[in-house]
Amino acid sequence: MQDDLLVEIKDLHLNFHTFDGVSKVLNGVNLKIWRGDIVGLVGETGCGKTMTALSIPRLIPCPPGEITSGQVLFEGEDILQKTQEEMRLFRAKKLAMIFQDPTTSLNPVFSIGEQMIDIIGSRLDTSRAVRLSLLGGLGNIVPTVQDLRLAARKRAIEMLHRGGIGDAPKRNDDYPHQFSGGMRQRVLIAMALAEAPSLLIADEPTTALDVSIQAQILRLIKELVQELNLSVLLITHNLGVVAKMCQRVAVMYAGVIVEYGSIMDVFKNPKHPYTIGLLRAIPTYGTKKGEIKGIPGSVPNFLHPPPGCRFHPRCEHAMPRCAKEPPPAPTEVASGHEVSCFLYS
Amino acid sequence: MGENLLEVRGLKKYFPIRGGLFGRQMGYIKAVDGIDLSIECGQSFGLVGETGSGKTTVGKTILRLIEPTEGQIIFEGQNLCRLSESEMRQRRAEMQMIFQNPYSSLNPRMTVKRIVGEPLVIHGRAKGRALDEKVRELISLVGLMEDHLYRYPHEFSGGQRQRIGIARALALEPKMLILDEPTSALDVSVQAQVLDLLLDLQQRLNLTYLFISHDLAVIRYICDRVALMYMGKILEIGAVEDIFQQPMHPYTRALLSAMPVADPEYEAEEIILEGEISTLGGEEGACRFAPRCPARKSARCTEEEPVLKELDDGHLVACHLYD
Repeated sequence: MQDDLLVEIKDLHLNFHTFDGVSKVLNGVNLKIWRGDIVGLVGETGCGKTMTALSIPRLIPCPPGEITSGQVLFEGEDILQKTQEEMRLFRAKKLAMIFQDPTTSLNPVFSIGEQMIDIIGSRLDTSRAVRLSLLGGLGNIVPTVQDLRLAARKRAIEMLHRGGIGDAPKRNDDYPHQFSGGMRQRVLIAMALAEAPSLLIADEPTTALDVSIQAQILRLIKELVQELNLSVLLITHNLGVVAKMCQRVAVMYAGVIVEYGSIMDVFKNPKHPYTIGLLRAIPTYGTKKGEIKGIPGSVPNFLHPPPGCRFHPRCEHAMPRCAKEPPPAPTEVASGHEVSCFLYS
Repeated sequence: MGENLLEVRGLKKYFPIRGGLFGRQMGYIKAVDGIDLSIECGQSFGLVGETGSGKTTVGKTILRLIEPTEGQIIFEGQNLCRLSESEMRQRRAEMQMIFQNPYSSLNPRMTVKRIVGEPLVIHGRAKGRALDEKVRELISLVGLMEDHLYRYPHEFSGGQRQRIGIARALALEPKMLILDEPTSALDVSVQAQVLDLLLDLQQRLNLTYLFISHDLAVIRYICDRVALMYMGKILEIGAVEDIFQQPMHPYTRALLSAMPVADPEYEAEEIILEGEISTLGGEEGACRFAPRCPARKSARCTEEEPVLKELDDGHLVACHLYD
C-alpha cells in the first residue's frame, strides 16, 4: 500500500518570528494523504490549517516563517530539500490550489482567458522567456509561440466549459469583475485543473458562497475529482461539508492534528475531547434548544501556548500530566483511526 | 398566543441607481419589495436568505436606520414611520441591533466600559456611580469579567467582542433585539457559546429576537418562526418545525437539501439549483424564483407573480404550485 501514499507530512514544526517573540504555529503535524482520497482538514480559525496545506507547495513565507524540523514527503521525495527551479516545476505539474476568496485570487486587469493561458503556459517545459511572451504582445507575432497560444486558448475554453461556465468561448475574454462569486470559483477550479495535477489543495473553497452555490461548487469538485483521479486536501471549518465530501478527516487544534481517521470513525466515534466538543457545538437536524454546547474558553495564544497539551485548559478530562508533558504521539485506537491524547495512550 | 410586538406591513425599500452624464436616476434596486411580518412578544423570528436577498435591509429599515420607501412598521401599536427623528431616537432604545462583524462594530479607541456605557450616557439614563454599577451588571450578564472593563476591543477574541456588542445592546433594556448574522464571523465552538448566551438572555429578560442569518441550522436551533426571503420578497413563512419538516416552496426545499449536515450517514436527495440569485430585481409580474425553479410548471410562473397564501395554520407559501 505504500505506493498509494501521495503525501506524508512527518512531525512538522513551524515557527514564525514576530516582534513579540516566536510564534509556534505548527507543533508536530503528522498527516497522510492517500491517492484518490478526499481528506478534510478541520479546525478553528488560526489553528494552522492553511499553514499545514501551504507546507506542501512550500509557499510558507520564510522568513518570517521557519520550518525547524520535520519532513514533507510527496511521492516519497522530501519537498523541503528541493531547489527553487525544481519546486516551480513541481508546483506547476503536480499541484493545484483553490482559495477561499475567489475575488482576490484573480488578477483584475487581465481577462480570464489571458490568465488561463499564462497558467497553462507555465506548465510547459519551455524557457521562462517563452512563458512570459505567451502572455501577449510578442506572443502573437512569433509563429511558434502563436501556435502554443492557440493550443492553450483552446484548452482554456475546454476547461472553462468543463467547469460549468456556459458560453465559454465568449466568457473567456471577460474580466474577473464580470463574474459573480460562484462563477469566479468555477474559473479558479478550471484554472487549477487545466493541467491534470495529482493533488488539489482546496482552502475553504465554499466559505464565501451561499448555500445553493456552495452545493453547485461541491458537486463540481466531486465530479472533477472522480474524472481526473485526484487526491484532495479540503480545508474547511464546516463539518457538514466534510461529512458530505470526504473519506478521511484530520481534526486540528492549535498547531497539532489531534485526531485522524475515516469520517465514519471520527464523526460516529470521536475520541479526542476536542473532536467530541466540536461535534457537540454544531446544531444539526433535530437538535433541540439547549442541546448544543460550546467549548469553554478560546483558542490559545501561540506566542505563549499553554505547556503540555495545548488543549488542556479547555478540556474537561484534563489530568495533571496533560499540563506537564507534551501530548503523546498519535496512537491507533482502531485501524486507521489515530488520536493524540493521554486518555488513549 | 402572545401579542404582536412588531408588525411590518407592505414594507418596501427601493435604492435608486444613478448613472449617465448628470447622475440621473436610471432605475431602482428593489432590495425589499413589499413584505409583511408579525413578531410576537418573546418570540424568536428568523429571517433567512442568500446574499443580496434583502434580509439586512429589512432589519435596518425596521429601526429606520434606512428610511423605508413605503410601508408601515408598527411597534407596540405605534407606527414608527410617522415619528420624527427625535421621537424615533427614543423608541430605538427599545429595539437594539447586534451586527455581524464584532471587529468593526466596536470603536477601537474606547475601553469596554465606555462602549457598554455609551448608550446609557447618550440617553441620559445613568451617570456616575449608577452608570458604573449598571455597566458591571451588564458585563457579568454576558459572561465577561470585571477586569475586562478597562481593556480595548483589540484585546478580545471574536466571541468576547460579540459579547461586548450584546452587552451594549442590552444597556437600555430593550424589548427587542435585531441580530444581523451575529454568529457568522465566529468559529463553531464559540458560536455555540454565543447562541447559548442568546437563548439564556431571552429567557431571563423576556426578549424578542429578529434573527437574520443565512445559516439554516442556526435558525432552526434558535427560532420559533421563520421567513425565507428571495430577491426582496418572502417566499415562505411558518413555524420552524413546519418549514423544516415540510418545506413547501421549491426554493425552501432546495435550500434545505443543499445544507451540509455534519453526519456522514445522513442521506437525502439533493436538489441542486442552477444559476444564481440576481441582485437587479426580477421581471415585473413574474415569480422571482422562476428562472431557477426546478418545479416550474406553467407559463403562469413567468406571467403572474404568486402571493402568499395560507396552506396550514400559520404556514404561508407564495407559489403557483399550491393554487
